[in-house]
Amino acid sequence: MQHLLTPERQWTGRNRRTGNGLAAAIELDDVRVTYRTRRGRVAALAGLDLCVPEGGVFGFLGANGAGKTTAIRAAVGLLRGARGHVRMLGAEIPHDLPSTIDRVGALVEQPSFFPNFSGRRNLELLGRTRGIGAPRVAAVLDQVGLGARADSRFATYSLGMKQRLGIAAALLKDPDLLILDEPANGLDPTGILEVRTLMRAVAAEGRTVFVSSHILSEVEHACDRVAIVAHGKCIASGRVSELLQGTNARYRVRVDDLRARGVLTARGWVVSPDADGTFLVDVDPSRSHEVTSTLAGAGIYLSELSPVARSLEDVFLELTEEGS
Amino acid sequence: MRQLDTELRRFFARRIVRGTFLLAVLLVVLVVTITTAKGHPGHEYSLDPQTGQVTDAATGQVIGNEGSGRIPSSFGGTDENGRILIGESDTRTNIGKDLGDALEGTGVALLFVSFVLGASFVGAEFNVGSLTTQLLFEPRRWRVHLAKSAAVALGTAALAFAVLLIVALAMYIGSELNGVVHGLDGPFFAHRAAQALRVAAVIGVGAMLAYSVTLIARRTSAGIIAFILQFVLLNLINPNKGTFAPISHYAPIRGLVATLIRHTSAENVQDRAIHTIAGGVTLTAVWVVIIVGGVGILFARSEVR
Repeated sequence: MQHLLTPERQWTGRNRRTGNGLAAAIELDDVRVTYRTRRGRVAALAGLDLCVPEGGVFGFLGANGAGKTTAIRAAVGLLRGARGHVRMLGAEIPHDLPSTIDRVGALVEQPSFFPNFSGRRNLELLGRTRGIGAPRVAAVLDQVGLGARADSRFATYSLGMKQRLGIAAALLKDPDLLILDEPANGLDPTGILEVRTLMRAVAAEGRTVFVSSHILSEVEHACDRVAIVAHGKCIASGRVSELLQGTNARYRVRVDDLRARGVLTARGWVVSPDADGTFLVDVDPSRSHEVTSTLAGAGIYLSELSPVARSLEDVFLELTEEGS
Repeated sequence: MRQLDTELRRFFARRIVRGTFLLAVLLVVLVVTITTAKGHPGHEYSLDPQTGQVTDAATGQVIGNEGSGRIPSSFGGTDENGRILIGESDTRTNIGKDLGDALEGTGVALLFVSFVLGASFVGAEFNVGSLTTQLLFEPRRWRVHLAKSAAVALGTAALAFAVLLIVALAMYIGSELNGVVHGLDGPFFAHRAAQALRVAAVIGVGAMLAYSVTLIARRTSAGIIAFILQFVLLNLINPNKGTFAPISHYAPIRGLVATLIRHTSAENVQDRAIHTIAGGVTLTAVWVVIIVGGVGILFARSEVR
């Protein structure tokens, strides 16, 4: 696992805390899950380590089949037979899950409800098992913008409305930890913005939101921290700003002399071509001035040296390509 | 109890449950209406084979002559004087005489329906994936399984009991309108009420077993076929010979049927290992422990999608 800048956690026995002293909302320690297929055993999680600190919005990124949903299913006790340790809000999973479940709201994969019941009835039946009454059901339906269609059959809902009902179910218990698996699926841009606002609002109340998503720009905007998983392992985790910055920053260099690339490469920097005859140099920000001085020392004078802003998508693709 | 209450609400909110009840009520009303309308008193005549004279058996009045040497094709035996009895039996609705058989017959039909209701209760949940959502609210698998089992059993039994009550009510109305109302005393009501409860309980247990099989097989068809196939096999295979004998004797369906049907008039009941209500109850109880308990153990360890 690649920790960027600061380690995310320090394992200290049962009362584990993250590296910055925050208590952990979710901890996965060397979790392994394998499935039997016709071609033999396939590892869905291959020793996944993950620590989600309490508070804020935590993004969980990974390509299809990377193990995101399997990890979430292991965390909420839907998956039995996983090896390793899973803890959620301090409770061992699945053993202590019943004592914790009231503090956890989750939307796992697609929202699954009875198609012939209304959205309201579906939520009322779910809430009844935990002693949650109709007023709370009405409140969460309004919160996700489904109040007007609450009494329509679930089967008549659009994909986005079904997703909203799934989020409403996750919010029903007024949870301390909200786990959302691809919550933006099927939502229009307005809906995506609403989900982002909702996640930020929940986090602003001191709760933890754990969200897996493919929409990297959304994660970049909504999340405080992220973890990237590939092939069943966590390959990077940290604050979004830290991940974006990385250990090296990237600079665009514009220079007319063809010798420039060779000079910079000989210095040990990674140089890659870019558009319009420019090229990109990966260099520690504190040493960016050395690019200028190195080229000047070789009698080459550049006309542009500008930092290139990296998106989370760039980081994700970079890391997952490295991982593969 | 909250879990059981929720599951019962979910059970009765299902369209298949409501539709089945309405269909059953319609069928009961239709059948009783037809039998009541077509019912008529029996007419018994005696025919003297020597003279061909036909006499009304009730009044002794001569009502015609068939001619000597001519024997009618339908006859009902002979009386003490050697005269041939002909005529039609009484087909009027007679609640006092027929209610017991009607409850059993309806019960057998409802037993098949119970397999569908029980299996589809959880089969539908696998179909839409709603079991995952439920387990995010109640992760104790045993509690969920037992609540669903109890809800299916209680719900189906209540539905069956309501249908049996409607059968009794419809037969009573039919008997009053165009039939025989006789022998409706305290013991009659007590016996028929006990019988209806027993039949409803068997139907509830049948639904629970079908539900349990489906919880592991994850397909509605598996739960239904597992029990209906037994019923077919019981009649196809010889229950007294070869390796099939133990299967036939001790299959779950045998216990259910033995508890459901009174064997006072059944043929060859002594050939069957289980032929009393007590035997049926015992066999069924054993299967409930094996199937519901075994499924609970497997469900607690399985991944739910």
